[in-house]
Amino acid sequence: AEDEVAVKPFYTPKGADTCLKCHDEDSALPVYAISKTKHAQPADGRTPFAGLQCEACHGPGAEHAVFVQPGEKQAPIGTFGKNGSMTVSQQNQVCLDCHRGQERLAWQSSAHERNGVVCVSCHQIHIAHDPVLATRSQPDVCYQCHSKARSEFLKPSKHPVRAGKMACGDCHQVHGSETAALLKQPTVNDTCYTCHAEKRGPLLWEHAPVTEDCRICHFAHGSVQPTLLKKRAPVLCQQCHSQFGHPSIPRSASGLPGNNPSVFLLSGNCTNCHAQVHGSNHPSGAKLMR
Amino acid sequence: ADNAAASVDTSAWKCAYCEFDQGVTATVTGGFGVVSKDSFKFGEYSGLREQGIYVIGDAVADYRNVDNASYWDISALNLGLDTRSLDMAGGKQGLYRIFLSYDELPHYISDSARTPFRGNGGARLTLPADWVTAGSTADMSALNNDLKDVDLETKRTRLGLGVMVAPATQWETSLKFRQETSEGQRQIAGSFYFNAAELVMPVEYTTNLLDAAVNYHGKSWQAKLAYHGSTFNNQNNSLIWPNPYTPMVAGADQGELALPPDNQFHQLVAALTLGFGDSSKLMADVAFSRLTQDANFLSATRNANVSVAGLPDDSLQGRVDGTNANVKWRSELSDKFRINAAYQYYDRDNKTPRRSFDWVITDVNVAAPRTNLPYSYRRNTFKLNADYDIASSLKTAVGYDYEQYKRTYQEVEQSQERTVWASLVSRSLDNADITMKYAHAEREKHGYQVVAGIDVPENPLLRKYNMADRDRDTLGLRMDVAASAQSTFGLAVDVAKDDYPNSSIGLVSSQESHLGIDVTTQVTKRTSTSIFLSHENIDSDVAGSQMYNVADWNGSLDDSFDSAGIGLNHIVMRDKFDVGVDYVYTTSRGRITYAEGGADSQLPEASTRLNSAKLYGNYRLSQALVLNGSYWYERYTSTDWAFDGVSESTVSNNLGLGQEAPSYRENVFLLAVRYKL
Repeated sequence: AEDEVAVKPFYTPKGADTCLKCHDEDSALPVYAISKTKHAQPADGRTPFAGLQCEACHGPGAEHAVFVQPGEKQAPIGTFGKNGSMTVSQQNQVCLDCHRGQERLAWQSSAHERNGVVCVSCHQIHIAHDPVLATRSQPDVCYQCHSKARSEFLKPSKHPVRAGKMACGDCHQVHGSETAALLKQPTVNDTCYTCHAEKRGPLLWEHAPVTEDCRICHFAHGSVQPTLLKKRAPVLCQQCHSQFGHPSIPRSASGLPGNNPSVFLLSGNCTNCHAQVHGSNHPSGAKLMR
Repeated sequence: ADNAAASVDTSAWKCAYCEFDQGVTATVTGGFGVVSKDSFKFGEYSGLREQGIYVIGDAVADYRNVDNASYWDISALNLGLDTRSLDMAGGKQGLYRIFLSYDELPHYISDSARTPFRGNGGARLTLPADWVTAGSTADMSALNNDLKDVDLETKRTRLGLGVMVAPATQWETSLKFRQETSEGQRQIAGSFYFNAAELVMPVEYTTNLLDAAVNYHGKSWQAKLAYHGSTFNNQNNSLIWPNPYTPMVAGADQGELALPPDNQFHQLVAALTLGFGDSSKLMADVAFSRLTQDANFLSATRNANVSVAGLPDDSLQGRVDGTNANVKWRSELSDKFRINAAYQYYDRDNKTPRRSFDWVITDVNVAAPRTNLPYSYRRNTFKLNADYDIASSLKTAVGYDYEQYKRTYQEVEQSQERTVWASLVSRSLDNADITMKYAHAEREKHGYQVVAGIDVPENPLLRKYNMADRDRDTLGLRMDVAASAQSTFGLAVDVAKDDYPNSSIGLVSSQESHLGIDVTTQVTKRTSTSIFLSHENIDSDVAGSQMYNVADWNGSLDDSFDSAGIGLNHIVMRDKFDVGVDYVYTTSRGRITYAEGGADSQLPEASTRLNSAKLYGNYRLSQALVLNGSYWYERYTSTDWAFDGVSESTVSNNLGLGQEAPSYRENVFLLAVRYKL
């Protein structure tokens, strides 16, 4: 009760109208556009603007709203972001108090949480359309920290992120997941299968690495090699196959055009014959040739 | 404080300055674009593959009602291209949401392929009536006359719909359905022993995905129950092609390739998060899945002259049960010290029956019977780590991970990997954040046995690298500096080094390194720039033995990728006119060097180079009307020893598609107006 008496008077007398007097479009921190967002929906009792408006998130602001003379410092208020006045956990708790939905179940101790990422590191809540929620603009938000991913999506073979047809969130559960690399599905392969279901199998003649982890042969983002492969075949295949005969022979420049053009080196090389590298359901497909 | 907040009288908080959206707002963009040349590579995913004029059409519309919280949003993008998409959502905020989405995604793979086969895109290929079979491609006398262009391309069409309902503040339920069709044709190959032909296979896939979830969150706990289902259907179960070569045995005049069979996948997920006061949290989830595949088998051969025993069954009766479970405990022992412990379990239990199959090698002759190997594996992972904040600006963490794999029907039945790691996050310096993480991992296997029953057996000295003993060191460094209020600088370094100390054949070592630099600057109040530079290298060594003995050759692979970009935006007149440029340069190189018998030989370098520049300008003609104009130049060149100089008949025993490494030079002009209703 003592706290209540102490805190209550420090809310502003007019809520957002007090704040917006200063934080207009010409200010250093313009926030007008928040009224275009779903946070600003008075008829939805869950939203800030159905209650304490700006102060629902930023905390009591009466002191901060006191007019000061030029050169004087404004009294502080709860602010967000990397250099915000609130700690990382305080900032995130403000958001999590309402946004504890399905996908944030595993936020605590997730990679982003442990590395001090705050919600507003990625989300912009004071503008009408948050870029991280749109497929076209989401990757640029992620690249701010994951610059290697931007480079990977520029490679000659890649998923269509640069073309604006895929976003990081199509595969990754950025709010926390127990899967490697914060994937949305319980395993790497399950994540890939959501778009590449033809490779689920199970097949009569399985190719063992395919059933275990697509990343044994493929990069997920992009590659300098065709079809997102980690290495160029036939060497890719020779990492794991060295039977007596043609699999174990080094395929050097002698197999190029002008010398003795080799089926083991050119075009699809190994897959010229063993085309069913993802497995075969053909009774005679034991060598992945049918 | 919560009580204090609840007792604040906000009845006078009118929010008179708030510019709430009420009613409909919409923006429509229309115009045209001109593409200078045909190129599949340029239009690979963007749809801009053909020379000519394209219609630009985007429309975004919203409806808001601040009186009853109802809303809808519509976004229609790229309407004039085959990358068009439509997203519609609406409902009553806080109560329910309904959505409908439609999306097209083309993949233009190759426009340089040629083939003598007819019926491409279908399940049965034919050869022209005048086709003359021969023992080698050079002797296929009708080949040049019979070659026809064939485009390799697929198109995905995705339709989604769903509903989310929040019947009470603590409850969320959702039901989502997605149907994805993929149609077109891709490359595949078929052979009769070593006489190969590159073929075109049909793609007519339909995948239906259904997700349902119920989520509850109380004050200190949350729970979720979910279902994920997927059914896959392929309109074609096989591809039949005639043998373009002179059959090596009677009757081997056609072959049949199995295409991906229909499958079904069903998964139930339950998850729970429990809070114990403010300091401890338990998170647990479990998922059970079942994958089945029971498509009818094809015949063992199409060669009527080959006598082979009947199949043991009509279909595989394939079934894989999956179990995935995770438990994580987090405890804050003090403001500065936290402990995290996790256990993860995954089991792929392949219950597909094992049976012996009499089979035929490439429709030529009967082979020794083979028994299928339904691979299963189980993974157990334990993680224990601690975070300690030395100061508010200096945070450290250390951890230990243990991962164990158990596999069936593979060379290694059990392996385990132990990882120790440490990380440091420093904000001690003014305006500079530094993050470092180092990890060292050692994986060891128990035994290594060549898998029985596979003829021809692998060299017993081979160690498959996903199961082999491995030492891995990884280092990550990231530095972010806010040089001033207007400028930021970012540096990222990642190095990963793998050694396979007990592998004498197979992958023996690899190293990946990446360096990235980012700079953003607000040059003036009206001018901003962003620059990025990136260099990546992937080196690896693979050893082989052509004498089925100890290693007698080594292949060194050296792949590198460099990229650089600059973006510049200048506001010429505030709220009236802005211009900008985005430039991207990339280059990749792939080198393979063989060392054999004391001599080195190198394959030609495979390389790509991209120069891409976009100039754009936006001019506001009136409050509602904006004129957008842009010019996009892109030049792409590539060399690839696997395709350069390789025609359909270059290889005597591979009837190829004659594809070329792609190159293009494109000029694209776009002009559009954006009108706000």
